[in-house]
Amino acid sequence: MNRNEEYFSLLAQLKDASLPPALEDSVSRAQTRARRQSRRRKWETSLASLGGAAAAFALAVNLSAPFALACGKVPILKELAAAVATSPSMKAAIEHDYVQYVGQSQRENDVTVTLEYLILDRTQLNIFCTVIGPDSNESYFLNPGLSTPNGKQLEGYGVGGTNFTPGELGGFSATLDPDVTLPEELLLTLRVTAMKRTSDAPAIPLDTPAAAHYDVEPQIIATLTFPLTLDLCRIGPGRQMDIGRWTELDGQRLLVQSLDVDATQARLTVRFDPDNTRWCQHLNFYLLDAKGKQYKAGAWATDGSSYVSRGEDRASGQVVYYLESPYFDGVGPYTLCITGAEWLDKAEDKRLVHIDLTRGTATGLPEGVTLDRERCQPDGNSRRQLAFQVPDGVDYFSIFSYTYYDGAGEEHRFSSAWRSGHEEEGYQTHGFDLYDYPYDTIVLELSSTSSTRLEEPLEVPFG
Amino acid sequence: MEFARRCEALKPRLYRTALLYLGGKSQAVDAVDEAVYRAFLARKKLRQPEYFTTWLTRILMNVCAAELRRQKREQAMEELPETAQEDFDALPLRQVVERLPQDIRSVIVLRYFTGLTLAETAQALDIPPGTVSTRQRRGLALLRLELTDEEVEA
Repeated sequence: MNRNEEYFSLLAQLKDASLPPALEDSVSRAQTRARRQSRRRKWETSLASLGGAAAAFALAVNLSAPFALACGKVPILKELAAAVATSPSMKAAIEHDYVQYVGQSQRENDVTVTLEYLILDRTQLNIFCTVIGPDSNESYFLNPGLSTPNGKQLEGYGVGGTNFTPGELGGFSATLDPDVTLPEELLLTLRVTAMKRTSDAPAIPLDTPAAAHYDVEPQIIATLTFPLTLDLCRIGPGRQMDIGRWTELDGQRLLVQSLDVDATQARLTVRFDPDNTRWCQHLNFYLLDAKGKQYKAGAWATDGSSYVSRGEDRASGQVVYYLESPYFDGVGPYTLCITGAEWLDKAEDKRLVHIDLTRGTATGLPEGVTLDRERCQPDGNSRRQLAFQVPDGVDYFSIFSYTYYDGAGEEHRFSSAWRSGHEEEGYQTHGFDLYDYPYDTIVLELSSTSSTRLEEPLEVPFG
Repeated sequence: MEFARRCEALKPRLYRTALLYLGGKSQAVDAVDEAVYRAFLARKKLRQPEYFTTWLTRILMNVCAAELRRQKREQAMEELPETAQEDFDALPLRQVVERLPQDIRSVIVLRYFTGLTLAETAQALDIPPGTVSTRQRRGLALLRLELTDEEVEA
């Protein structure tokens, strides 16, 4: 038997071999294992948070008079403290009696939403609640809206929807315009959609186009309206510190204009010189008080991450950056410590990258970034990747915008981008996928043309 | 359940892939089991359902590679270098496949025993199609196989 005959014989043997019985129920075993893992994780988390919260609670009650006082007024505050554990500002607001207990429940279609607490300051309304419903639902999405008691939409606020795990306290935040007078009575309307557990989700035919899987508008399963009474007396006055100090970074001038401080967040207003040659796409910084306490950039977001601001407004040349608030314990004078920035060149020709797909060449890439020629080969089907290597240590939130121009000069947008890390090799790959692209050239638009990371922060003292 | 249905349909191919790649039946069963579990946990991250096969194959290959790394830590490496053509010639085909250098073995197993196309193999291994071609050519030479695409697809 020659090698080719041996190959076909081996292939036939393998194809005829029956599947080992141990693999027959691997999918249900995977489901059971995943459920067990999930329960254990929740149990460990709740034990850990319970233990941690209990210890912190005992300490806080014994050591902190405001916290003990706050807990005396609002029941079951430990759970709330755990929910905002990542934010020093929110924790401080709880300690300083900013929590208002709501305790309202409503039910529709077997879904029950219980509003537990709210934390209100001049610029932010944070609402905390739990959602429970049928076991077949894995998670819920609440889309909130605020209106006055007569049903008129409230002016001067912004709010986004949030995902909730059944039975777990979660929250969402409405940003309020500080110049708008908030009424004492409000209506909060929650439109609820659910994500089914995979085992209960209807099967999707295999020949369904990919886009159809994700473009389906989720069905609203409950619309619940809660009347809210806000205790406006608890809102402390905000503070504004005018700073008005010019500084220079990477040859670009910026005016650190003011710091607005409220209980749950602070906002730093920065204005950029219109004569700068580059737009600021991102600023890395923190605030330091006289006692050396740091306040990080970014404000508490309900999903445990931080709100950050990006990109200079090209019309006004101004950005308002969120940061943790020194409202309760900050001691002036303060120092703004700038640690880095991302820039985009204002000259249009410097913002465009011209790529010759046939030759595998690119002109106009930011320093250090290279075209990954090997990955840019067509795959023999309709797909072609555009991939770029970015060395580690070069700080880019994103290098490219989603806009590109085809070989005929027509403008398009990529529907998705990807990024993969290669820690051992010391670089990251950023890329896009092109489908059925008939041209030999493409022009990409950069989102940032340069970035800088300072070893020693650029300090702007004030206050 | 869509995930279960697609997994069931793909399982024989996954098992065949793991069996040739790892060499042992029990290791192959464990690898497929682990890959199905990891896929189940990550199922919502699959944005394009048409890539289910290459996606799950890629997860399996990662599981197999991790298992090989573990084995290599525990015992002497059994792969033969590409220069050991005489040793390859003396072994049955199945053993030669199992002793191919790992990068070449991945390509040969997926292309000639799992039945993936060149583009699918590139996607499953996250390497450029040109690299798949090169490794495929080197692998076929080491195996002394002369296979046309038509024969493979038949």
